[in-house]
Amino acid sequence: MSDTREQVLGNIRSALGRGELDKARVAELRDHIARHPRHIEPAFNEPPQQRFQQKLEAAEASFAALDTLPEVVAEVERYLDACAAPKHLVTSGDEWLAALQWPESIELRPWVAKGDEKVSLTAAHCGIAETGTLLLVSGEHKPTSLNFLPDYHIVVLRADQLLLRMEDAWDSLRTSFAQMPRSVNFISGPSKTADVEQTVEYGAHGPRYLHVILVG
Amino acid sequence: MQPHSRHFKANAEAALREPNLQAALKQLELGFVAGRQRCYETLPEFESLRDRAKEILDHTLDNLDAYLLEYEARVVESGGKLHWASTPDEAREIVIRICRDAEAKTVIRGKSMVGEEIGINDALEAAGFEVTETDLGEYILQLAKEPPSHIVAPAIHKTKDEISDLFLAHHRHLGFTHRQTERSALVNEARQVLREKFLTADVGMTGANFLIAETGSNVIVTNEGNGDLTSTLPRVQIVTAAIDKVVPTLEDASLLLRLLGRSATGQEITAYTTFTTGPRRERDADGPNEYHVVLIDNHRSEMLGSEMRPMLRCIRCGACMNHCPVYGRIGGHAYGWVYPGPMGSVLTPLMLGLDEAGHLPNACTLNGRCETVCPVKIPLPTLLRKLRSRQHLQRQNSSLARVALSLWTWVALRPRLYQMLTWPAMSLLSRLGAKSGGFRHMPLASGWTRVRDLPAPQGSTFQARWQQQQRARK
Repeated sequence: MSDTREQVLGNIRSALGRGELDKARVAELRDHIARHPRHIEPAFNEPPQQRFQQKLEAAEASFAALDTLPEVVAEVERYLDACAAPKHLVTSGDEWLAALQWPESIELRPWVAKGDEKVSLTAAHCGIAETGTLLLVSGEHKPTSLNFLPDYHIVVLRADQLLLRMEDAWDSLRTSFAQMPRSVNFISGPSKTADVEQTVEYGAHGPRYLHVILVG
Repeated sequence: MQPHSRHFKANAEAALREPNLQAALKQLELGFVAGRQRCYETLPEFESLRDRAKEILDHTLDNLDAYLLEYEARVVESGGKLHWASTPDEAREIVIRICRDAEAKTVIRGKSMVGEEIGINDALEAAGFEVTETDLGEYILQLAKEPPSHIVAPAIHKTKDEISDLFLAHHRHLGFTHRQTERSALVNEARQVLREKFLTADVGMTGANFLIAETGSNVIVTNEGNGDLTSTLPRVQIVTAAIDKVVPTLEDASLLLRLLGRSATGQEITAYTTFTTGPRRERDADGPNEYHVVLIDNHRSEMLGSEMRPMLRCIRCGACMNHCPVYGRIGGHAYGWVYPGPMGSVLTPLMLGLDEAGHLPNACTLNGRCETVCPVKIPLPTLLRKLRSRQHLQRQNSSLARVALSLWTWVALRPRLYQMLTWPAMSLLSRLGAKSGGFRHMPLASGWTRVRDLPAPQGSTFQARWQQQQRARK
């Protein structure tokens, strides 16, 4: 199909009334990509954490703020009890999650979701205050399926990982990874649909409930 | 799908008489239109975002070949394969070949307008694959064997009752023998049926809201999470995307995403926005083993070289149709193909030809609401007018219209004659209609007065006022 490739590129160039761009111009465009300038970033006045919580709650996610990491255990148990959800959790393989003192009543299994798990517990790469968004990335211990298959998705985020905007998240990814992780998921609430008579219903295909725990 | 845009007039007449469709279209005003307005009012930067979006996209189009090559290089680096297709035929062949090479049997799809454009479902089914749409709206339409009637909310014309019947008829053999009537129960039933499809499909197909030259990623925006499951669970992922979807950087995508959700559904951001880059990495816990992108031209390079270039900025938000008084009365099916409303009235003739879709550029009152709300400032009414004049120049409009236009042109170029002919008629109408303000019946204008009143002329004529103004200046 390399013929088609040349044909499409040729059509584009003749439509633009020119031939292939010269090396200097291509270098300029590559430089533009490498600099990836930011554009207009809408202002907001609220404190980031307040905005983050408000936006998430407006999207029907629930929210808890804790002071220290060990408190996560009690909060997860409280949440599961309140929802009458089962206490078998599939989790991302983050060491600090596993290192918490989990009681025997809660079973943790770090694995890829298979489709019948009810609850997942994962760590976010960062959060975005502007839109009340969590950013989760795929990786060795971070299956993407955990973000979409279970009914309940519990996400833990450290307060120092809460950023202002999506653009800050890009910088954070560029610093953390040499290459874009295969899946970069921005999650801003539980799954929903308005495809039946334009009325919102939650739990279309992904999690019916999203619970965000902010620590610190 | 087989286009039927040439039957636009009959389609539109029929649509006006469908009470369910009319109710759904009224709801559109309360939902999407009001939602966008709220977003507009609460974001002081909205207008400057539109200006910047236009600049970014114009810059990208000016350098489209170079950015596509950058994008291609990044896709290949991340382990993906890029396939170029200049026609829908080629695109369908490529997709079928990938599925065959993967020895696939089942294909699931996330909503993709370019997928509709190339008619991929019918082609895959004809080639023996089992295809399932996973977006709830698209799934409902697949069961009903209907095309989408809106690019964002494809099943907007379907009532809950119709969906209940469809589900009962198609899910009975799966053990769902109870006819569900609650919305939540219907959504839940679809979730269960489609969950099985997600877990067993060999190939997952999605579209792309954007392609990122910087990283080789494709972006999909959903609320349901279906596109994300489609990108994650099957062993092969195929992305179908048009060449105008590429943007240079992640920052560019961020700016456009701020406009997309707000303009489409009145959401600052959708529940899920996902950037996918290549197949699963060596140590990744999950994800597909193969990642293919089919990059489709389908007349877009022609548009790039013509006065229609601004149409390539379109980000498929649907705001133009939500705000269009014509779409608002007749819905999407009347337009007879994949893309309805103002954007469809430009795209359809360019993709299928004015022979097939000549009615569409004329199905517009030139009121300009679409251009006012377009997040990337496409001058839709201007493009529609240009298509009309193309039609006239190519002698593709009706002979009656051509004769009438030539006659009018001849008279209009002779101001004295024009005045002599129009003044007595206008002053008569103005006197006759002074009391009621309009006419319920009018000989020779029954096409107008059959469905609405003809307003009586108000005040003096344009020419009289012009002359008055000119005299006053002197």
